[in-house]
Amino acid sequence: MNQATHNSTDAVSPVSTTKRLLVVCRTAPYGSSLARESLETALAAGAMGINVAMLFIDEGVWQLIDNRDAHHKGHTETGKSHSATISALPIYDVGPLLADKESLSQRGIDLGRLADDAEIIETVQVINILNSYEIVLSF
Amino acid sequence: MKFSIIILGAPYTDEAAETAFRFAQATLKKDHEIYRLFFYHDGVHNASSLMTLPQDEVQPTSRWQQLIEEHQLDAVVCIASALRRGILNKGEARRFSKPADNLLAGFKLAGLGELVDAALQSDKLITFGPCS
Repeated sequence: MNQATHNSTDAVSPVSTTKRLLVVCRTAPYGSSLARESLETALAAGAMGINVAMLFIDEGVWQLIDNRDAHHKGHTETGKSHSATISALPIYDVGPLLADKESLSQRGIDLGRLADDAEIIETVQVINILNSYEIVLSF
Repeated sequence: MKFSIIILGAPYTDEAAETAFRFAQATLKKDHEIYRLFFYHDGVHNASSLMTLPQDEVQPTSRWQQLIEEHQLDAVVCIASALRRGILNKGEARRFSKPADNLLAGFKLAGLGELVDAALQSDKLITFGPCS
C-alpha cells in the first residue's frame, strides 16, 4: 500500500500579492482537528509567500501552551504534537503569533507556559488588528 | 460583490453547512458572484456520494450538487481533509488502493492553495464553522 503522503500544502506555488493574511484561531488544540487544520492553512499561505500572522483568541489560546510531550499521552487526533507545529511556524515565516490577553486571563493560563514566540496583546487592540489585515480567515 | 464561502461543518451533524447553503443561495439570488466554495475540516463530508438519509428529509449533499451544477460554481474539497475522512475521487482511490470512491460529481479535490487563492481573489470570505 502506498504511504499516505497527501499533504495539502505540497502543491502550492508562490503568488505575488501585497495582501496580508490573519488566521484567527478560536478552538482548543485537542478534542477537534480544527486547530490543526488552521495551522495547516497558515503554513500553506506562508509557503505561497504570503505575509501571514495568527491571532489566538477565546479557546484558541490553549494552542500556544508549550506542551511538546502531549503526543506521548495520546492527546491528539493525529499522534502529532500541536505545540511542535506551533514552534515551527516562525521557520515558515508565519508570525507574529498574537495571543489575546483577556482570553488568557479568563482561563487562568500562566504566561510562562506559552510558546516562546507568542506575543501577548491587549484585548482593546483586537479590533484594530482585525482591521489592519486585508484578509482574515477565521477558524 | 465577489464572495467565497468556507464550509467547515459536516451535513446533518452541524448546522454550519445548512446555513452556508442558505447563504450561498441568497448570495446568488441577489446577483452576487460566488468565486469559490471551499469545503474544509468536517465540511468535506458535504461532498460524499454515500450519505444516505430517509427520503422525507432534506438531502444536503445532492442539494449542494444541484446548486453547483445550476450556477457552475467552483466547489473545491480540501484533499488532505478529504482523504483523512474517507472522501476520495477515482484517482485517489486508485492511488491508495481503496475499494471505492465517493466524491460527488461537481466537486473537485485540491490543496489549500485554492483556499488562499480564494482569499486573495474575493471581496468577502465567509466561514461557516462547526458549533464546537
